[in-house]
Amino acid sequence: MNKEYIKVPKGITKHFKASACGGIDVGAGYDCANPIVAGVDQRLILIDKSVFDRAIVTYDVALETLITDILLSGVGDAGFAFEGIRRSLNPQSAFVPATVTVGYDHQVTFQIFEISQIQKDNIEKLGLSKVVAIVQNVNAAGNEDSVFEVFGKDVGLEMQAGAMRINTDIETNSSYTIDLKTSDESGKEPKLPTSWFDTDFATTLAKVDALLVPIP
Amino acid sequence: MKLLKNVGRLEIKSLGITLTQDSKSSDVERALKHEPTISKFIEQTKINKNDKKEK
Repeated sequence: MNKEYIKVPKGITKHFKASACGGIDVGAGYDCANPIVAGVDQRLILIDKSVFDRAIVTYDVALETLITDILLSGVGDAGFAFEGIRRSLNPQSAFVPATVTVGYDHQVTFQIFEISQIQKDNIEKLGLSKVVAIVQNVNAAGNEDSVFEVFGKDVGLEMQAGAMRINTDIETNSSYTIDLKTSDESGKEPKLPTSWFDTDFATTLAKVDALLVPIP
Repeated sequence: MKLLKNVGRLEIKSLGITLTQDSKSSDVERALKHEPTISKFIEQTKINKNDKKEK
């Protein structure tokens, strides 16, 4: 183990860890029987950040960084599902090192296949809001406890600048393109998107689905 | 002594409190008062070791 010692003024030897928060403590392999599988389910769940900030979030007993449940608590609080097709939903994350600290960008790009006035009003509200996104990866053994991931849990995602709808575009079927991302003008997410898992896929899915039912 | 049951950590975002097995009883009581629904996750409200640290 790489240890560094420093003499403090009173002559006491103090031990410092190799790096802040400790160094890495596990390696990684490739599971030939159950390889990791790329891709996401085309349902995106968005929760307003102010609603999420009223929630109770529980974490696993053995792994205290793993979310086991998100319990919305305010009356009427709920998440909203945005349905996509094929590869219309594209989540990603990126490492953003700065001079004295590090952070992560979380990003979710998706299509809204509705152009009704109600949906336009909704999109405009999205542009004025911060949201948290729940993404479902492929349910494969190789994806382990990370079939469901929470994006924007700490800072929230904001709608980014860019073309939203091209009325004659065949590729998008003239749907709305929405790009949600950690803002470049405020703090970055301190962690990667957080995995959400409890017991098994079915149990976790039931908990995720429960987000869509408004709290009475 | 266990403070929480079935969870390793409990984040009550509206209060800005994260309860762990080492939390102070004053934090647990404040959280319970604000969110009575979390009682199902609370094993007990007194952790003597950490209450002493609080003084």
